Amino acid sequence: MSARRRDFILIGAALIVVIAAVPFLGNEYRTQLWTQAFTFAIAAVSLDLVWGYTGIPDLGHSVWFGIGALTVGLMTTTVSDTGLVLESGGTAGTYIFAIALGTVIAAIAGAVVAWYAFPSRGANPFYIGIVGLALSTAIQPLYTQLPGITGGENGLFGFAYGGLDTIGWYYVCGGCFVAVLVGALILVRSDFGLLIAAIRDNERRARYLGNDVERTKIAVFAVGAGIAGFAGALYGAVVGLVSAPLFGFQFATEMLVWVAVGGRATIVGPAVGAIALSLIGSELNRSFPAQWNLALGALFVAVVVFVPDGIAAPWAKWLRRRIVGGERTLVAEPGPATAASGADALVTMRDVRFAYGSLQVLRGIDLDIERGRLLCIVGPNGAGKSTLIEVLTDGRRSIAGVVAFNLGAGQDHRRRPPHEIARHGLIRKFQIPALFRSLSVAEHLLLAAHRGRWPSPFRRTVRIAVPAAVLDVAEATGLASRADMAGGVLAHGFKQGLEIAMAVAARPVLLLLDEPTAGLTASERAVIGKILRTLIADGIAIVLIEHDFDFVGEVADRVAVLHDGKVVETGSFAEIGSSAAVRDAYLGAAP
Amino acid sequence: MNLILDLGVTTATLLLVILGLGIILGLMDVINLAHAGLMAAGVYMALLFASLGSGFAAAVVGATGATAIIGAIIEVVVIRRLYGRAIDDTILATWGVSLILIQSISWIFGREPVGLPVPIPGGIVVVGIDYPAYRLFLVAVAAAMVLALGAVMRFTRLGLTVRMVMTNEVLARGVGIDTVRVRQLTFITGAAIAGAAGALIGPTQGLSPQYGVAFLAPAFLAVLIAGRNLAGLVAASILLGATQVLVTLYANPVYADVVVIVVAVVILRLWPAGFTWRRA
Repeated sequence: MSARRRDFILIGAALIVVIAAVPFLGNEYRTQLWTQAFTFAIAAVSLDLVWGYTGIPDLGHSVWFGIGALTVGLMTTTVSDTGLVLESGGTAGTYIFAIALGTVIAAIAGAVVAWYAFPSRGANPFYIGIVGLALSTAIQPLYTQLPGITGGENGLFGFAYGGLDTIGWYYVCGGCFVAVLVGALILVRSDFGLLIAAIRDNERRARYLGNDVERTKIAVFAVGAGIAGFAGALYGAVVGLVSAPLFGFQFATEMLVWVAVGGRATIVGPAVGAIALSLIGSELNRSFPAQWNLALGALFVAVVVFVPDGIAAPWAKWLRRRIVGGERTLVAEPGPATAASGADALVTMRDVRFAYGSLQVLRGIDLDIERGRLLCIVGPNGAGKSTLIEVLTDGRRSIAGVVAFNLGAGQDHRRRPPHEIARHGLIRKFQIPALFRSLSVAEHLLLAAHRGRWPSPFRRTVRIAVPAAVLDVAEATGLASRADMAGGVLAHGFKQGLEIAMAVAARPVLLLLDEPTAGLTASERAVIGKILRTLIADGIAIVLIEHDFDFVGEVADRVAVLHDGKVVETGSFAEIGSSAAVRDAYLGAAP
Repeated sequence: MNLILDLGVTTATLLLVILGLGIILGLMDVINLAHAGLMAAGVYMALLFASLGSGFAAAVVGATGATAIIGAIIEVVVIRRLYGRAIDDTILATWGVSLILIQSISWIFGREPVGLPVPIPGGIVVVGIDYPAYRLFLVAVAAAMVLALGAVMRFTRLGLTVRMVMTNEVLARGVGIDTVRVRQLTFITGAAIAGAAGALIGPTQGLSPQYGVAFLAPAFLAVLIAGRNLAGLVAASILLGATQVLVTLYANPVYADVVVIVVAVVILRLWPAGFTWRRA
């Protein structure tokens, strides 16, 4: 048994003992408060998945909680037209079914909202926050307008399940809390957890590695809403009360504070934050209501301004390292660096034109990209080199002309979003390194190697199999000894090296490298050149944008000169060097 | 005609509410949810001055000054530390400030609903309709404030400085503008306008410490729709004001609040940058 597993079992056992002991330490009232606190803690964990881990600012998380509670209320009460509760209660089966139904309805509602708020063409990243605020504000007046269903101003009440005593409910909610906590920890340490952290750090980069960012965010949001709905349904069954404020913005911000105080993206922290704050709150609220609310406001400000990582964060991070860990390492996988084979002409561009608004950048590009050849694109600044790559990798850019792909399924790339094109093996290295702030070097490569395959929500890949060429790049650029360093703290040269390594790890069919050697030393550049040649020998096509003519001369099979949105010359390096058109493009035409 | 007047008043009210919010968002990239607390502070300060025997005009001026001071304190303690932070951080922190202000008010003044007497009682006959005079006065005040702000931004050196900081802060600092001071003054101005708006709108509403909160969601949505210019603020106010008035005409006023929010959310989905989309 590893030390980590032993710690996991020890800490887990300690947690269970503490939770089991609470009812014997306090009075019945305290036990009820703890039971309620567990339902809040479940909601806090779900919000941490959505907000802390995936970076989606859900300002209306209370709505999902309210939906869960209302579902249980509706299933177990009979209400008069004016909103008076006439009758309440039900069998254990009714309550279990109602809790399950509340969870499902909240998840579906969350999925619909997320689907609307994350359109595939991309919207304001904060739009979901706006929708959350709007929902939590708009539901309150609506709630009071439908007394025949919702109980109106007073809400529904008195429908707590009577078949369990205080201690029984305590253990049910405690058990649900532990289960959700463990489930969430498994999720965030899995490969899927890696993907959502990557999306939080850099959505665009994750998309160009083949990940369907929108679908992932919708999935996380729906799961988060479902868990919050479950928490609300439990709360409903325990407390037997649902009214408009349970849906409201005020309660939503309280949830955000539980997460912020406990420490975003730590799972354990938000759970502790929710339990501690709701217990302290209900104690103080009885004796000093005004002061407590004032203190709560001050806590909001203090935590966000002065301790943005959260009060419990260092402790939660330590705990997570002890029990979650499992450092990821790279291992070489034998065989060629690409799975591609088949026809030679991969991409054919004919008379491709593209404009950013009124700025015409590409004015009729004719270009063939062939398997096993390295095509260098050179040209002065503003010639359209990076735009050419942008147009190739994002099919939603509206272009004129023809871009035909020969990548197996589907020849036309019109309207294909970037992640689909990336999954076909068109992998791109950005001109300015675009990494994931909190992911380690090894994790970057794992994500790249996945190339958009839906990652497992349970399993944590510890040994990352990558083509041997990736390890060569890592060795040459000094990354190999920095596999545990986070993307946000790497020096520029290492970032460049990692970008190249990621592009290779994705097993590309066509590799698009935008100035890969800027910022590297001469010896590093020489090694990169050698690695590019071995990739070519494996049958990969490479398009390289480069300003350094010595490097171009060393590696290129063919050179295309781009000037003013057109290919003015193509040929071997020697042919290009003596071309008059090229001299004119760089130095201006002689009068 | 009554409808047009109602529309004017609703638009003016919304405009007064969002003016301070819009200035702070446009110039500082901060969504200032402390606005709700500042509006409440403004109206309670006006109440305080009125109870001490001052006239309404003096009470509004006093309230504006007092919220400017509160704004200065908030800027130094909180806002200054949030530059460059994610939008959700500023929302949480400024909402916390709102909670502090609202709780302090209910602590000092109590939670019971109160009222501010209408300072210009009676009506004015406009094209044959007897309309409450104070509400028309609000329209005039809103128009005057917008015109004054527009003039300052367009024609004065101060306006030029502010526009420079707004467009490119680093460059502005490079040519010797004290951008920290500009941001500080911007926030204080926004806070003062919030206080003035709170005091001015006060007589038309039932008041409680939660007074500003009801305006928060529509105001927040309106400034996002407006984008970053004064004309956008006016256009967003007219659009949402018209929605509010028309729905109130044909349905339960409660639904009008909901419809306004829905309309705003849909508009923001279609035009994420709001009315500044042309400049993008």
